[in-house]
Amino acid sequence: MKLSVERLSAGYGSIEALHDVSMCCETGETVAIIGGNGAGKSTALNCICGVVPISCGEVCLDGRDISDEPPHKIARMGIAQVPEGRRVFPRLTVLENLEMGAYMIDDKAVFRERLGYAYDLFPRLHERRWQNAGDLSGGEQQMLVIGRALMRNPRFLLLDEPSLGLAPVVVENIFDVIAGLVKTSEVGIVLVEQNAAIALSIAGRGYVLENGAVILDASAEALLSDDKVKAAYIGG
Amino acid sequence: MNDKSIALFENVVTKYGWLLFIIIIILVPRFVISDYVVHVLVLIALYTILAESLNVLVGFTGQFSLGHAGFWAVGAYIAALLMLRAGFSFWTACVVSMAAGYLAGLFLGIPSMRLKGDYLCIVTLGFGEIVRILAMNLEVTRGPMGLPGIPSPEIGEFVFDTEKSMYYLCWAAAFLTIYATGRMRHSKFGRALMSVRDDELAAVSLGVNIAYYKVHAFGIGGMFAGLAGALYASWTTFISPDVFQFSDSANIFCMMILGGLGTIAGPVLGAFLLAGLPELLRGFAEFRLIALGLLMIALMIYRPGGILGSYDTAGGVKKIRRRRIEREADTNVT
Repeated sequence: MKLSVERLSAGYGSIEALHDVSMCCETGETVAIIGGNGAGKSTALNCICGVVPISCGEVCLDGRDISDEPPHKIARMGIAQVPEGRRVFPRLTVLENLEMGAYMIDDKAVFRERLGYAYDLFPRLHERRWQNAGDLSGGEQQMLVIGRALMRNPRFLLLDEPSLGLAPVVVENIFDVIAGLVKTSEVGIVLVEQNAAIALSIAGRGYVLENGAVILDASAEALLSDDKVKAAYIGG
Repeated sequence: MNDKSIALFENVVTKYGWLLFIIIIILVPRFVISDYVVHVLVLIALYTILAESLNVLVGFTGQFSLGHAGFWAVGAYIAALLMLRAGFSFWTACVVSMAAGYLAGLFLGIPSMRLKGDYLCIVTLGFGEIVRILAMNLEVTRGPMGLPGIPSPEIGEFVFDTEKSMYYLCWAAAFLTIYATGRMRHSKFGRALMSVRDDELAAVSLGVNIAYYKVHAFGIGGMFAGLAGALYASWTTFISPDVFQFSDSANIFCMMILGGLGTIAGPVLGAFLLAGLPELLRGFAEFRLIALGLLMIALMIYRPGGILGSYDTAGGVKKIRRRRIEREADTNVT
């Protein structure tokens, strides 16, 4: 399957946040979107998910324009967004959060299998399953939202700043898991990150966004060795 | 105590707590001769239904509503009019009242899709007032003169025309409401409501249709308030717009908050405290409202989550049930 945005523009009021952006991601690959603050990275993800309305262009899933669908329908098509800022359901337990992740799964056997899969990826969630999600540490909450998004076996996983505000060792742990996902399942990952070095280390391709436009589009290796990218986003 | 023993303890307390409560409620009329006490307890049963149904809206879904007396009035007037004018039996009228409460909830729920917090409060407050003013001015409701002579429920030869018979009927309805909301709390539907409460964006990203749940929370809240209304009309045999004031909406709201928002036992406790205490404090005459006010302030300072806020009495049951799912999932892990 292929998820793509074609000549997408979007904005908030009179401010244009994205201008003529085209990107794509296929199942089985990891694509990184890097860029500084306010470059439009999160807006791009929110447009794909239908949370932010687009002003022109298309969002296509396997060639079909889905930009007019309401956000919950887009989510049901197998596009799982993990919004920025670790948005767990704080007053539900870890297990209840994961059950919400399986909201669209009615088959109990499938649910148990997915639950086992999530616990396999993040054993910490299994230890904490009776606790309220609001009481978890930041890293555990990030594990929970990723595990929750994976409960329904999505075709595409859209991760918004998973490294934000986490200790380096936790970030490494989480990115190891993300890197492993593509190898073990047929999922396409779109990874939005400010931490360009770590994002490009697990991605196959990458887009660099600046002021709402794609300024670079290349393989991860090429981007990592690009002087401009190095200077602006990796620092040396 | 570890997680497991806490869960076990909570489970025992919860299960036997409710059982004990039901037994006490059943036995009370055998030992209490005073009709006045039974009368207050019927009122508490009705407030239990109202507070519990408001809890679906506010506690589960996080939608603040200050118009619950409006749904109550809708139920009471529909039931009364059907019985008086159309000759319906109480039971059919009651079912229609619940349906009317549900529809009124959907109707009010539609603006709620776009509104939150204080703005939603104002809209719901307006709804409560509109219902009351309609009842005050419509021909069919006889305005401030109200509707007298509402018949009592009947089953065959038996007529529920004494305080004690209505006591059992109203508490049966209250337990039905408690059971229904308790079940809902741990169902897929209930979890979806709570996910909307906790984080709308995250809920949407999992495929939850937020508008559907917001509107249906209003519908279900309105439905049970309609039940309370039908019972109330039949119990007092007389209703007028004065009964369904804004102060009642606020009172129901306070019961729920005081007992413990989002818990199952909380609203019951709140109904006992706020409907029962004013009666107990009658000896203090004009000071009783001050005393009640002070009590509420103190409670909100020392137990901001409500009296049962940190202790969800349905939690134990949930954990035991979950453990079963867990064990099977565990075997998949290893």
